Amino acid sequence: MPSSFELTLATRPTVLITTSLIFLGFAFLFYETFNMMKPILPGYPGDAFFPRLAVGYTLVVGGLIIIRGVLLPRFAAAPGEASHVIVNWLEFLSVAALVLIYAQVLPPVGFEITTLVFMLILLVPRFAVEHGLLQSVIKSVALAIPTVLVLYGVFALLLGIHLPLLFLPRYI
Amino acid sequence: MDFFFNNIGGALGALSSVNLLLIMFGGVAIGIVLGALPGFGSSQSLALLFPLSFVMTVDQSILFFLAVYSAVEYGSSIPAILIRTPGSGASAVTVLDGYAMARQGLAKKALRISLFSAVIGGTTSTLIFIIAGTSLGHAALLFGPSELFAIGVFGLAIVGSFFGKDPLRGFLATGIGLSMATIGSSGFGGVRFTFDQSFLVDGIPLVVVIIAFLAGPEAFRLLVDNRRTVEDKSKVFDATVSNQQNKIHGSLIRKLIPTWLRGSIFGTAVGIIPGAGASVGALLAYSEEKRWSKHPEKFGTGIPEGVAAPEVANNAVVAGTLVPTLTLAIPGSGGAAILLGVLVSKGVVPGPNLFRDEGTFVMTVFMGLFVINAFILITGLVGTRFFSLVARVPLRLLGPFVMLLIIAGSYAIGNYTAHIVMVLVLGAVGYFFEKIDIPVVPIVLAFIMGPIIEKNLSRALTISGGNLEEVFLRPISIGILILSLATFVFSIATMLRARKFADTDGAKE
Repeated sequence: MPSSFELTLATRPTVLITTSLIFLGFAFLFYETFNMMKPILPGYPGDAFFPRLAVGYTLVVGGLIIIRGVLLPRFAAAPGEASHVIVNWLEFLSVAALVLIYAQVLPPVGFEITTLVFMLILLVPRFAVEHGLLQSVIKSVALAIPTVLVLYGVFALLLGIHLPLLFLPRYI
Repeated sequence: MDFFFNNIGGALGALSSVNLLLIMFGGVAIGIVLGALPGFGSSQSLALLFPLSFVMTVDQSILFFLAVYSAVEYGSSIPAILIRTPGSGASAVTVLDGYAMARQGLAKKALRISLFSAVIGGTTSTLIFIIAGTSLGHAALLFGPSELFAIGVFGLAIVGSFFGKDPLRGFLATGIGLSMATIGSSGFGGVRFTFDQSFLVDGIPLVVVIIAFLAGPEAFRLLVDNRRTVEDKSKVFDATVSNQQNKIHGSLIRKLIPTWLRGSIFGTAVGIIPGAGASVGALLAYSEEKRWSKHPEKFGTGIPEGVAAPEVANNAVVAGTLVPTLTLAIPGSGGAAILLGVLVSKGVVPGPNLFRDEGTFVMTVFMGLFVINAFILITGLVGTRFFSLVARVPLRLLGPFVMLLIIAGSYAIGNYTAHIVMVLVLGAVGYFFEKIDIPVVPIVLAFIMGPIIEKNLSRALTISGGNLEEVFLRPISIGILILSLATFVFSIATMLRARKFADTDGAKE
């Protein structure tokens, strides 16, 4: 039974709406190509030539999908396609928000603490599916700490990538 | 053969470097582990590891990624055999007989057959690759920019029609990728689609697109859709049981030789066709093997041929896919697109000139594939017990690690948190697109091929003084462009016909 956080969308209308939005966006991009720099070299077709081809092609294909969806709905669904798609919107938004927060907090707080907290937030509820809370926290910490150390070793020490580090370089 | 003898010395010299050998070995080990993770395919694995290419030379990075690519294809058979969960689409067919063998207590035997098949498939297709690649490379030298532009268009037509269930949606994805590739500086002083945003002037970084569209949707799927998935442990089989039944005898090897030969040929041929990929190769080899068999009814009940055929084919696809990738700059799969991306990011221009200008490099790739297959054999034989454990990692626990690797990898591109946000947004779009069957691989393929196609078109037009007729109506160009249009129309017609048949069948029932 679907939970109240699951969004059930009918595939055909969703494809039609998505394609229409893409079509509108690309129509604007096609208009934008007329503001691009004119050709300066003899023979060179200009900055707008290839984008106009690519965007125009996308508009034609998008238009075909929309026409098919509206006029020939029985041909709109691909063979074997599910009639509905389910998205757990709460879980999806939580993950997206967590990654956004990670990106914002990483420079001021430092890689070590940010990554540890990020992993704990994601791991604890996943362990909790099969274990109690205390055991889930212990297992999550036991996995998250080596993960931070391995990532530090690979990215900072091996690849020489400048991570915003708080304290690890003082010890390792 | 001149190409072979002129470059073999340099290639063997390059491969004698201990660093390079260690990098290939590391690639094989990492590749098998990633492949053994349930549901984790070659594109996702290569995308996650893409940032490692920043610190490698061209030789090192291409051989590392080839090692990972080949090893993932083998590794993905491990969860297919042990827990009935294919590591990638290509191993889905292996489940049929591999899991059936495991249920009969023959898990170790099935894994060994899969390993030998993988190595034989990889080695045989490398031999074919040497002949086909050099021949095609030399033939393609006759092509000018307008023919190469037409070939690029043909590649896009095939890529769009092969991925996903609906070719129109595949073509839409191709258009999106192609358009995304035009963002940023044109190279002639102008900027395109930047909307006064400075971070778009250099375009969307290739790494961002690869990580976002190939690894991003997988991370979201693992985190959102598999958050509460609990695997049935009673259906997990032990790969370490050693008994007489699990031994592989000479008679079995002799019996499997024809299967290996047929599968290698099918796999390489499918790999050469852009867009077809390992899944098609494995499926084709399995169905052909069943057709050739004297006992087709035994397929699916746990017979060695049922494991050998798909496994030999899906590994043969790797070398096959390199033929169009290196000679024509048309990547045949998501994995090949990443290999092409690695080359482009290192300043190497794939295409027919590669065989003329970088002969030693191409030969190093050829010879490196043999070494990689030897490493897969050794690692596979020694590490069965460990890799079997990897296959048991619960799906719901994989998500946090994949997402963290994505974040770290995207931050590694210039230490810029905005790249994390870009990957998040594009990854979320990719996740949603996959939900509604808009395939994301063509977006990446078109994004990589776009600049190559545009460069050839601009060059052809500049040479002809802007004369479109001279560019499009040259005999080879027009032939290839007509073929591209035919591919477009044919794939749509095939889909409509399939839909009509499905409706007729539904009405009869």
